[in-house]
Amino acid sequence: MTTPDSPALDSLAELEIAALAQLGATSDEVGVEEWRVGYLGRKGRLTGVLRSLKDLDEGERRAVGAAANQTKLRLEEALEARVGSMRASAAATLAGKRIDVTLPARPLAAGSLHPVTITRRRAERVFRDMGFDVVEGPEVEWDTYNFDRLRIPKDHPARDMWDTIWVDADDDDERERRRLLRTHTSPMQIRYMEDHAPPIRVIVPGTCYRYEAVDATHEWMMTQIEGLVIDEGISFAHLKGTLESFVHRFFGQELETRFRCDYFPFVEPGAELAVRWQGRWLELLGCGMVHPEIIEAAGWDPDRYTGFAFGMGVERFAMSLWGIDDIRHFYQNDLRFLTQFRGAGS
Amino acid sequence: MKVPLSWLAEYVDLSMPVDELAHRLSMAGAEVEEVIRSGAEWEQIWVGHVQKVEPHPDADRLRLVTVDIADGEEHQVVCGAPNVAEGQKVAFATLGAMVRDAHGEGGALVKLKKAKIRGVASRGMVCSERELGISDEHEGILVLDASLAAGTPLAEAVGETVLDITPTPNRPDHMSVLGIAREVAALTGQIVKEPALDFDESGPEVTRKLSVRIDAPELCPRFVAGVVEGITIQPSPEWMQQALVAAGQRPINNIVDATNYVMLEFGQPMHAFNYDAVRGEQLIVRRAEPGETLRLLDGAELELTSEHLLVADGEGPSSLAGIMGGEVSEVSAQTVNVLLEAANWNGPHIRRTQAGLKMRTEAGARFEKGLNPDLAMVAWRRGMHLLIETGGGTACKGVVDVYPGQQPQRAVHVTRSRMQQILADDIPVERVRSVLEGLGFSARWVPPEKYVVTAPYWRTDIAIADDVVEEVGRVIGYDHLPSYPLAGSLPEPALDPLLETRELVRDALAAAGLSEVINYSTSSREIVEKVQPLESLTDQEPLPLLNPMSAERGSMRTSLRPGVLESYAANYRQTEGPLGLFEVGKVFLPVDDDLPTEQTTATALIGGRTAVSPHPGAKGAELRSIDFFDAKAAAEAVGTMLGLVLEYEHAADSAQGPDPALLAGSSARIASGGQAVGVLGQLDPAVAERFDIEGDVFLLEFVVSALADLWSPGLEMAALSRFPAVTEDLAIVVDAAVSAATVRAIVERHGLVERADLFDVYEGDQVPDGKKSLAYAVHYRAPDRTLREKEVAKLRAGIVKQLDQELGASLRG
Repeated sequence: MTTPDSPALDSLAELEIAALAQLGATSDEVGVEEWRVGYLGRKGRLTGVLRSLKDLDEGERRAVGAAANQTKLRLEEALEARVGSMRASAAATLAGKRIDVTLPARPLAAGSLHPVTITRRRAERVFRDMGFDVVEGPEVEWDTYNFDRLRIPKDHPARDMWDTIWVDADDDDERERRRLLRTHTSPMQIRYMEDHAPPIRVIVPGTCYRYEAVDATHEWMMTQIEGLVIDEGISFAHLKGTLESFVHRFFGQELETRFRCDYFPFVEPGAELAVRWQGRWLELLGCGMVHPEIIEAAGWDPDRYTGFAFGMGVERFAMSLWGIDDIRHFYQNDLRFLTQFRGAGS
Repeated sequence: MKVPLSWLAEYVDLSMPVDELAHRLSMAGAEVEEVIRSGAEWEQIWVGHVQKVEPHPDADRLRLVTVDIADGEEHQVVCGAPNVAEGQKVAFATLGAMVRDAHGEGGALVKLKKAKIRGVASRGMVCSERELGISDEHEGILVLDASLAAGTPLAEAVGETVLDITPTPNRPDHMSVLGIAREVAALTGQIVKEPALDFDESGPEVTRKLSVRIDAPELCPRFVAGVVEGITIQPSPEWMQQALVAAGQRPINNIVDATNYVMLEFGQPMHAFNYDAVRGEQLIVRRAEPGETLRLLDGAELELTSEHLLVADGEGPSSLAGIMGGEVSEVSAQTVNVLLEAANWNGPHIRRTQAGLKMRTEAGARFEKGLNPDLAMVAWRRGMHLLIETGGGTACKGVVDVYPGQQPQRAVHVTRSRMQQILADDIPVERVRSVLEGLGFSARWVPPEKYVVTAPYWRTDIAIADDVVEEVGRVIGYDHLPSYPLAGSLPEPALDPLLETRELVRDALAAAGLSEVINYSTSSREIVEKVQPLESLTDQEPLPLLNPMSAERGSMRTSLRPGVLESYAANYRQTEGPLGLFEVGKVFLPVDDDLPTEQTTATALIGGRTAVSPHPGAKGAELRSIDFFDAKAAAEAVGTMLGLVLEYEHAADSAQGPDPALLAGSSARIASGGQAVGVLGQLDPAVAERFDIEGDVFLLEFVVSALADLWSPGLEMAALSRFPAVTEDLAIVVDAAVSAATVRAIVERHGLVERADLFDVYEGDQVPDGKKSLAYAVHYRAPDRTLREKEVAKLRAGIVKQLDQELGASLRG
């Protein structure tokens, strides 16, 4: 079969040559897309050729139509190849790129939580997992909640255990209305029992204050976590089990614990918990069975309901956890100290 | 309480190692703070015999002392002590011994070296008590018992191990050697060897020598007294002096020493009067009359009031009851007849008196804890025994015993089931009884269920069944009791929105690049005046404290700003890049005659410059100061964390007006849903300067409780449209005073506008004076169809019309 002489066929061949040359000159995918639109798009030049077929006679139309479709196929193949090679070379460039990964990071602003916040939350999470609620209470408190109702009446020698910063002067006529900075979170035992019925399982984190000289192990402002559990059938064994479990979960390992007899007027029996941490015995917290008179004063039958309470110092936990050597670091707010605990979770 | 082991050993066998003894006492409640071994550091210190004392050739005050320590050598040293004398037995340190630096602060241990003092070689040292670490005494050398053999290691001769015990306030019996001995006995299954109480009463009837009247029986439950005639005042015997010194008391004479000895032995303070100085042969316990005075044994002259309780004689005050004796009846070298008192005083009254006088004596410290009146009689007998043993004389027959406060002995009933309820262990009856009897209790078992328990006279802390339960638990050992996890029902869950919000605010600010600080909750007038608080918070005086730690901590803070500013000032000079600090804490807003309102507030300060980047590709990251919009990002972080849309109103336009600490032109009131929640703006440089801070600093403050009121954890998911959004740019020209938020609100008012993001603000060429151009990327989307171009064009026209009507805005050409 001979190819009939046809100007349409000639221009088709020219178009193909020009198109392939132009494709070869494209440098990026944007150029390739422009090329595709220019030749193969709805208004493209090859499409134009196909559209003009209707003006030809039937024989020429068939021959040119077939050739145009062939051309289209070849251009599409060339397009695909061009895109493919372009992507391959881009990928190769990317793959070959080598950055100095040891350059310092470009700083994003990096914030931090205070170590007391981190430690408090860590303790709160452990207690929440054990079914405790979390509440807080006032830091400026009545004498009667801080002392009297905890069985520490005025002129009781046990008051020496808590050197107090007072708001109001001592006035026998205004005993109930004397304000102070709470020396411990224990007043919340009373406040919580006033408006909650057993079963009670609650912790109370909060700031406390003591009139105390400041040195490496003593601060006059501190953070405590109080705990209170009241229900039928609560015994000293539950106190031990709960606190042992707390220590285990807080420190992330089973630690040897020791309960020794201690005295707090609002518990009976009273105890102090120490754990063996890095080779030393560390006194961690005071605890005990809630004194039956306190349960009775709250309106519950102490023969039926028993409970335990405990109080711990957050700073002390943070100090043992991270080897902090001086309690004064906590409230001096030196960023070099504060930002060291970013990796300790939140 | 210092308990020398040698003294303790008179009552109980101490064959167990001292560390184990200390541990067991601590575990049972008598906390041994420290085991002090006074001999431990005395290596190369010996008992020396002073053979010769000669003058120093070159110094009047120094002497050359030759000491023998039975090593065949003569040791000559230079000594400055006035009391050194030939024939003495002394503590002699040879070269290389560790002695305490008697002159330096704190008395550090130093190694003794060869020295030349005023030209004479000194090889060794005759030690004072201070150099040995026994006491602060440094006036002269320590003179030892003459019977000690020269050459004996000092530790062996006079070394002592002392338990330093911190008694809990409920256990005054732990303020006595015998009390600790009883504890040891109970823990080790021994029986205490009781001290001798007997004495010969061959004198006249005491009632002919003395009468006692108690006018204030509520303050003096018991008064026991007796008289010894013809006693000799002299130094007390060596064993008594050594015991007192080891326990930290200075020996004085046999009378004073005997009363101190009984106080340390039994925990019952007593007082010896010079009988012949007791006027009218009578003692009266009464409140002082106003105007009366009393000179105490320490020389202080007291102006008395009716708050003071006296032991008076026929003519006037003689001693301050339970706290200190008076000079008028002091026992002196000339005293011949001694009146010995052992009384019981009301604890709270003693405590009040001591607090009022700001004095605390060994006697008062015991009485204030409340002693059992029965102890007074036992201790009195012991005191009489020791007086006669150490000073001879004749005891008058009988005793004056006025006992208005006598109480029937109270038994405590403890059921076996209560014991099990508390200790979670059914402890056998025999074990319970043996524990209680070992502690000196009587414990009668009444089958099937009950113990009837009576505490011994030295215990004052046993009132209810659970007190007895503790006794059983602590002697068995808490560590031997069972341990269970909690079971049973959980309480109702409580979620406090304030606490949740507060923690989310912390997280948001930390995530936004700020560091959390915590400052003391106090402030002072002076500091508050450096930065005025939000007047929305308070215009009241901060709540003052009665006895603050210091003047600058004189009141409860009403604002977090001073603290955060101080933290910022302390850190910003050390920071190269941006500096952001925040505190979330309480401020205390005073309420008259009531507890203050404790309001949780979050305050942040942001300033400094953006960080330098060392990277080649980071050109263009020029240093610039942090500005309002960097700080605003922190505010937005909080809004996002809480799911709240925050509204910023220019402070100058706001109802509340500008914050006095901020620059009015660069600050905003922040609200959400129309509710005020905080403030953001540039700190007035005048305020910054007062805190010594340079550069632009921005302050962000939220009232966390206001945020908490708006925060709602209960969200509901919005349906996602499956249809594409159409995004178009819209640039308009408005008056320069129109806020971007106003324009945006109008654009977003149309339901099919998903959102409009501002991407350009322009004032200058092509925009008329007093106008600005704002360009938004507007996203249109319908939930149920693909928007067509025509529809979008119509929407846009509507929006433009709306902007024109409300703001006079026009499309930018």
